[in-house]
Amino acid sequence: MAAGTASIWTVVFHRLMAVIPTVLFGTLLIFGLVQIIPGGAAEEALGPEASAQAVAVLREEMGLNRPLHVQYLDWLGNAAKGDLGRSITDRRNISKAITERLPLTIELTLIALLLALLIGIPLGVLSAINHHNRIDSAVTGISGLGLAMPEFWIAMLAVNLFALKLGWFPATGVPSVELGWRDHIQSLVLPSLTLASGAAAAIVRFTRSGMLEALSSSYVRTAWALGLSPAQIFFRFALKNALIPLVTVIGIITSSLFGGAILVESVFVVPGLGTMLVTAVLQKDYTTVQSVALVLIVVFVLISLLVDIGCAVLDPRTRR
Amino acid sequence: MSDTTATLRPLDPADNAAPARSSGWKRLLRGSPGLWLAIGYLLLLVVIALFGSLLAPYDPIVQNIPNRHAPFSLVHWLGTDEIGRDVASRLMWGARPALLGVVICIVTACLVGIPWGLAAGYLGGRIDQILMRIVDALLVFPGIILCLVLTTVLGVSLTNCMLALGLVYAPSLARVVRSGVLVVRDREFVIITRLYGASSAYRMWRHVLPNAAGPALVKITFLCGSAMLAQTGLSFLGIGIQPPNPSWGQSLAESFRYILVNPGAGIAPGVVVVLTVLSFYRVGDALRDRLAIEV
Repeated sequence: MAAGTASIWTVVFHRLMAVIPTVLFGTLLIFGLVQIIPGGAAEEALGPEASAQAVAVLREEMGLNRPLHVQYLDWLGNAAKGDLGRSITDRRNISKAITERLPLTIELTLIALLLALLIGIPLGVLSAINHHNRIDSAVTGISGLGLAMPEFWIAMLAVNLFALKLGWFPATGVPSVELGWRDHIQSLVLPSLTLASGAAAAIVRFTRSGMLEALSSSYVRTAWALGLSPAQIFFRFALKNALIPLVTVIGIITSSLFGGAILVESVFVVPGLGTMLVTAVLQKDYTTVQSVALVLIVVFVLISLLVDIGCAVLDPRTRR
Repeated sequence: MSDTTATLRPLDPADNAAPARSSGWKRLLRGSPGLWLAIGYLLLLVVIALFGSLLAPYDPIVQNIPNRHAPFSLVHWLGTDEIGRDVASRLMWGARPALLGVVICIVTACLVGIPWGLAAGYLGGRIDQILMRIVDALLVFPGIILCLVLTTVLGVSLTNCMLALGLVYAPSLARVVRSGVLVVRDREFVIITRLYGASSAYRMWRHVLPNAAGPALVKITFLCGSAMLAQTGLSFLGIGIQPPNPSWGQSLAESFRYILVNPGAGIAPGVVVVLTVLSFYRVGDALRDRLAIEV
């Protein structure tokens, strides 16, 4: 290991330490937000016609009569033990529902991330190599469109073409893996492609500008002068450096994919956390909203942590 | 993108005749029909948002079930939806809440984000550190999750969900304003006002803010596009404008439900949304290019 670069374990340790305040801040944020419900959570959940007695019973049951910091610490402690309480609308065990649904959301996000990279990087390189000609403007145009199209509209067009006209993939729903992994994967194709579209468009732009910068640099000029083949210059030298700015935005891209998954899940009726969150929002089920948001934030922070560590493994320069 | 300026001929006699001050803007517009189209489209939207209720040929919520899923025709330009309502009229009525939503969101983001960024950049030191730490922490989380939680808390409605979205966008705006402020904060023309005894607040509003406004303006234009996208997404989920009132996202959601019966129904509302977002982004691109040339 070269002098001045931290060992990978030091990096892992530092990133882990940095995660703790972020997660705590997230929990405080969610808890604080739910506290400012006008009129209080119990009143809101029961509706305007509820009797004062029913409200009092629910308040007692939800533990709303205790001091705020006790409520917060209790919620946090129980959450750490894996107990997120029960839904106030249908008495469902929230932890159980979340553990059933979470894997699908993570799966969808990760497949979409992979697809976005697989689509975005080659297109970005293609665009940069063909700078200022038709291929470049076509790729930039399509990626611009990809950034401006609502995900659910892309979903509609995709369902229309691939599910209804061509019949290649099912339109909605995702059967669980136990019922056959083939059907499972097949049903995830359209949702993950839809989710990947926006991220792929962003990756095209990052790769393209990174490549253009690398191609105009002095080491590439030297490489041309030395008579290296274009393939060697493009892929061995330029691409490697062009991907560095991309690595720094992978976290943001993962974040937007995770958020986008909520929408895409609702469109394709994927039984993941996103559909659960949206239903809970519409039903004013505060305990569920609070819990799902907590889990989403924790999982999201963990995914970015993994991406961060992955980048540190790949590029020693990011090990600060 | 820089290609808008690259395609210009540098030695245009008309440019020399034009007054030096406005020639840059004029040149930018002249070289780019796309930008003109974007501005024209946005202006048209504003007109429709203001007068759409008078211009629309039909009532947007009157149903005509026997005539449902009608195709494009001269009577119903964009056809009718699943309960026979005129799609074109619904889109025209929907322009007002769509633009209003963007305005609510952007005003909220500005009211929170600009003072936040100004304070952080101008006051510096410990305050800057604390304010920016909060920005970083907020930017880590996916915006839509915070927006959904906030909307639940405030109650589901268009105003509330766009308020929530504005709050979610505020930190990113604050960061842009802060970096703009840092550039001008220690320039001579700002320092010299201190010699004249100008107050800190006066200096900030009169000298620092106008000079930091460029990057903020670009950011705001892009946020307009994102707000439009997010808004249609949220009304697609049923969070936002409540039926039967017309909204673009709702029209899309309804057409998706009837995709088997009438697969083409989602095209018109989708195109309207995409054109709006593209126009905002196009104007943002042009502003960025223009300001980068000048600044």
